[in-house]
Amino acid sequence: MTSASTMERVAAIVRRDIMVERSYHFQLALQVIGIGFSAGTFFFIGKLVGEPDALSDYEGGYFPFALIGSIVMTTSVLGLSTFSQKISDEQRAGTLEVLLSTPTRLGTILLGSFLVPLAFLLVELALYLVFALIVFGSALPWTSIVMALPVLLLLTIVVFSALGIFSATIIVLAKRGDPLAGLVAQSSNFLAGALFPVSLLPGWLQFFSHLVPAFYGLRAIRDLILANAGWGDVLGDVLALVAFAAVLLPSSMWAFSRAVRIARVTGTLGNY
Amino acid sequence: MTEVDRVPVVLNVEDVVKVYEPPPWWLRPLIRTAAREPVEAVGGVSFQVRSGEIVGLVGPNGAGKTTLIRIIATLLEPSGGRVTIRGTDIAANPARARHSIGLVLSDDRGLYWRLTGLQNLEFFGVMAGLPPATARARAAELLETVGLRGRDKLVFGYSAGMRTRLNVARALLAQPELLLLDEPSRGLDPVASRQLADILRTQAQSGRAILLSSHRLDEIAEVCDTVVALIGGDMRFAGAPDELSGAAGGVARALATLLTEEGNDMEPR
Repeated sequence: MTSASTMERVAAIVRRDIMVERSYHFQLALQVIGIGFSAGTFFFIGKLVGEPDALSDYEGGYFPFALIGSIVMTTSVLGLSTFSQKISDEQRAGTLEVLLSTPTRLGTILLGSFLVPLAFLLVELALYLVFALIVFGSALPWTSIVMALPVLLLLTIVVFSALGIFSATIIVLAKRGDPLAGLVAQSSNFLAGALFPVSLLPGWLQFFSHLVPAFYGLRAIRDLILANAGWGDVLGDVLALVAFAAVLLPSSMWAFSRAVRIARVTGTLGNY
Repeated sequence: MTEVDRVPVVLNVEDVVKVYEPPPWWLRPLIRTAAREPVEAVGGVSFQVRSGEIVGLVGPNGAGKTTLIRIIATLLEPSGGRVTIRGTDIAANPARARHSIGLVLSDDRGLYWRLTGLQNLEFFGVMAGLPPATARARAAELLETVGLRGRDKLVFGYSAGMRTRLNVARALLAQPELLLLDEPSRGLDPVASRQLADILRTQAQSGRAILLSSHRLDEIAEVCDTVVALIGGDMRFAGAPDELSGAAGGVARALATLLTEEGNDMEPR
């Protein structure tokens, strides 16, 4: 008998997640409302602060600066939290052990589980951009946005997914209370300058900003969209993100497979 | 060679040992386990399950039944010994072994409660390796087999008995050669237990090897061809229920006597 292909298995997971999401009727509506409030808050803070000197390198004042910060951080958090959230959900439902007793590989299960949250993220990003379009019309460099955002957000999401796999590693072992995801999300938000320019931080803290992957993603996107920079100008930032991905992705996968092995030995795979 | 010897062995458990070790010191802040000292859960258990045979695994709480089933299902690594399924060593090739296994765990979770029974079966069918169209057809067929056709709804609306039957259907999706059931009748009323026993007998008649762990001594006595009794991780009896039936009160009473010799609380129902 022929066996289901990896793509068919991934598609089945996507179908499952869509059906589960559809059973929660208000989820998407609440998400849309949340984005409206969030973007509205940035807009009015932008009106309050005008065009501050600290943002003189960027066009458009505070609103587009903060909007890009919010978009990058939303993307980062998705990469960071999805895997650990999915593992935790499967443990609680008692389905993790059932799935691991099937011939479907854990990597396929994790990949499939990532796609519906990713689709939600794309909807969210589109709504942010619609909001920006309503406010700014053609004043924003839409060509730069269309060229810069997909590539740099993809790189950002790969890097943060690797950190998310580290987070899932902790969940496999500790079940709850993963300190990594929260710490990375909060420190990235602060040190990468999601809502304010890093140049406002004291010099010694700016050093730590350079250790945070989101810093490079944010700087490159803002430079391309709001500072008329070209790809050559942001090449260093792009290479930094690639280097983060090259180191973090294989090491996180190794750590995760070790954690699953330990859970198989200690008998704690399905505990929650 | 006897007639029984000619029936192919599906599951071979050879001297399996499982000792739960406390995690290494550097992992203790992360992993919370019950074991502070090494605990031997299974101590050198050996038995076989042949095609078409139902083997009952019986023993008091903590006897090692669930540990043994999880080892065979590739969810838990043994500390020693060897398990083969149709000759495949599960330690050497767990992915291949999983093609031959259908698993029902001891609680009525293991299902997505926000999906219907049919949607659950279709999903798990593909995860078990069936192409989507085959999984759909098989899901509908099995819903009928376990008596849930026409009663399909979101799983959170199912009774415990319905969820158990759905779990059994899930385990049968890929027509596994070996069906592992860990206390499937826990929490079932007598009618549901009877229906489950009928399903298991039908599956065995179709050539499936079945390993059934249960606290229900009457169920074990009635359904199983062979009984393996575990106490404190050690195997105390392995043989046909008939070998016990000389005792007054029948097989269930004889099993209870065997198991209560060690001061545990097993009782026939």
